[in-house]
Amino acid sequence: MKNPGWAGETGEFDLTESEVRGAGYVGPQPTEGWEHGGVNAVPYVHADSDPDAPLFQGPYRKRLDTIMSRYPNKRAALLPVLNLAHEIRGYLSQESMDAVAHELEEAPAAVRGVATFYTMYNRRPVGRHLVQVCTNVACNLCGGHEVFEAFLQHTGTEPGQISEDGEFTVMEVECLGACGFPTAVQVNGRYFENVDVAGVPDLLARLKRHGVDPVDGAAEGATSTSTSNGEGTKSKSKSKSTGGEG
Amino acid sequence: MAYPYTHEREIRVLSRGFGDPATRTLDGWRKLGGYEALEKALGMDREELIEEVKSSGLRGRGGAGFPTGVKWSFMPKEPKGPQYLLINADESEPGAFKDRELMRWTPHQMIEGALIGAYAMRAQHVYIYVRGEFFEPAQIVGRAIEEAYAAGLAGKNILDKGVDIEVTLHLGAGAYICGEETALMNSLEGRRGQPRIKPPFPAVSGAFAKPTTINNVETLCAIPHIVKNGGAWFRQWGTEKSPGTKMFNVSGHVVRRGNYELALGFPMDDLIYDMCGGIRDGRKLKAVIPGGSSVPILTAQEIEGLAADYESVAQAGSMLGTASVIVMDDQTNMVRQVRRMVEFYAHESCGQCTPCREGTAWMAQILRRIEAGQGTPEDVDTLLGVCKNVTGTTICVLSDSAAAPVLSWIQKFPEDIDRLVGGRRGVQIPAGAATA
Repeated sequence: MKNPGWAGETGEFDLTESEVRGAGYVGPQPTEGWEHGGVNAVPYVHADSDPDAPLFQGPYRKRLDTIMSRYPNKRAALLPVLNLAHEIRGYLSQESMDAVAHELEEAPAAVRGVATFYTMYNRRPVGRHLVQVCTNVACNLCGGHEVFEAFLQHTGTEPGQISEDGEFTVMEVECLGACGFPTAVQVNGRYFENVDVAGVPDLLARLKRHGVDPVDGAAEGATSTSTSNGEGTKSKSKSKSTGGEG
Repeated sequence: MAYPYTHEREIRVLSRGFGDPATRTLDGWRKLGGYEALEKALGMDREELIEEVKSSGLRGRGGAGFPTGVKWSFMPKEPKGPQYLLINADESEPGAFKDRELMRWTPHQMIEGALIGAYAMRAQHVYIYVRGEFFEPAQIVGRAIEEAYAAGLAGKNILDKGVDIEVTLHLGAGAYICGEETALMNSLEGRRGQPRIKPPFPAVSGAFAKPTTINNVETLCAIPHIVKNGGAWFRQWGTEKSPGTKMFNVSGHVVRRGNYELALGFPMDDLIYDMCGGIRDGRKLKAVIPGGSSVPILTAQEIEGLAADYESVAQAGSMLGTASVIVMDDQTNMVRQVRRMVEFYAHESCGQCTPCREGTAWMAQILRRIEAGQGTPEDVDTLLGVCKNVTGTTICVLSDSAAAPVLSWIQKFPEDIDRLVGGRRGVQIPAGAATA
């Protein structure tokens, strides 16, 4: 089978979801042990981040120090450090922004002025899975808006609201840069592509059961085989047709 | 999601690793001859290296098409302090999806190109500015950076040649405008992503007020191949003024969407009808946006016989841009798509220039009215007036970009205008046209 999982059944390459996503190469989330300008800078989106977690402690303190060491001045570390605070708590409260200002020795107003300019910072908590649907031109030509409405309908939410079970928040976003694979949907730190209206309930069910990590070769209804290091597994068993356009 | 289609008429230089997970790794990249170009470059005279890139005729792949070697030659030859190379990986132009593929399949290709560029331009630090949404490609690039450090290919004393180049990954947080080079520099410095007035140009005073060059991901990915094989080798493809291969990213109503690497000057008809399998569901072509949503729309007729290179597309009244080809079939509700594009620019306006901040919002408002069947012929005049007043009156070209699809739509699809605002108020859109 070609491009299993959430890429849809399109294309001519025979790859597992992990291979496409590079999950085996990236490996488990590295929080320590990296000294250079690479993985330290990459924020993660956790489904279960704690909005009251302490900021910049333990491994996060080390990541913050490494990030700071990569720039000629402290101010330049502002976005990466905001990203870190966002990773830890799942959103940016006024207090988080002030804490970042304190770390960087900047005025709180300067930090807020920057943080509110960028659209990826949630300024209030969101559901475990933040579903961001692209409705810009390339996706829209292929039904992006209808996919967005299907997500709202199946989660029973209004845009930006948290669903009753706390699982989902659905938002419309601008171009995700995956225009060849409409409709592109970003959920937490991963993209799900070629999503169509009919595939929405399946995708929501998968997210609820497995989260966003690759589920290679796992048939619907099987127990979770979620792994962040599945590139070695070459299981090609047919999973139930999902979001693909066929 | 992956790299779904290939075609025998492609020339896969940059994209040869697409679809093969092994090429992500340092070992896999080395098996393809990776980092041989870096080794060669570090043994070359810097001016000679820049001349080689100049001789290839490589033009910046981020949209403007400025010759890369010439850009590199603007950097000071006798540095008075730090100099920087920034990689623009903020791919956000609606229609563009090539840099993401390059980063997630061949991260070392980009890093190698960047190291060569940094050496040539005497830059001590490379910052890779990746748009915040690209968590997955960023993790792959991050891992590749760490691999390069561990192998002595980045950091201090690279390959024992006495050259020091730091490489740092930097993620944005959601702002289209940060793809504009001076906005990107502001964002990197921890500020709002607002474009700066030029001059001073980046090569004089860029990031952290130091000499800086900004290159697109795809541009840097071509560098190792040019250094290894020579500028003349690159010129075997493409045209005199647009040499080499280029990623064409095709989206919209074609059968096989995706990335195709082609020699510049490739016939646009063949791209759409041969490689991409034509228009879906046996429909007819209505319009094509050849270079991402910021460029004027071309009609089906204008596409006929058009060569996909910078000059030919410009001659046809549009721009090749990022070669992000958005295809629309004859069932497309154009006003809906134009409105959606303009809403995007209104949303992404950084707000510092009044014509853009106000004008893009007005344009979106008028287009919503027209789409709802409430438009009047006067609205079209107002729209044209706003387009005129937001073009060339602002620091960057975001508002010019918003005006491009509107103007070209009004000019080239008069039947839409007649149908939508044809003389009387409250004219309804036929039900069949309401779905794109």
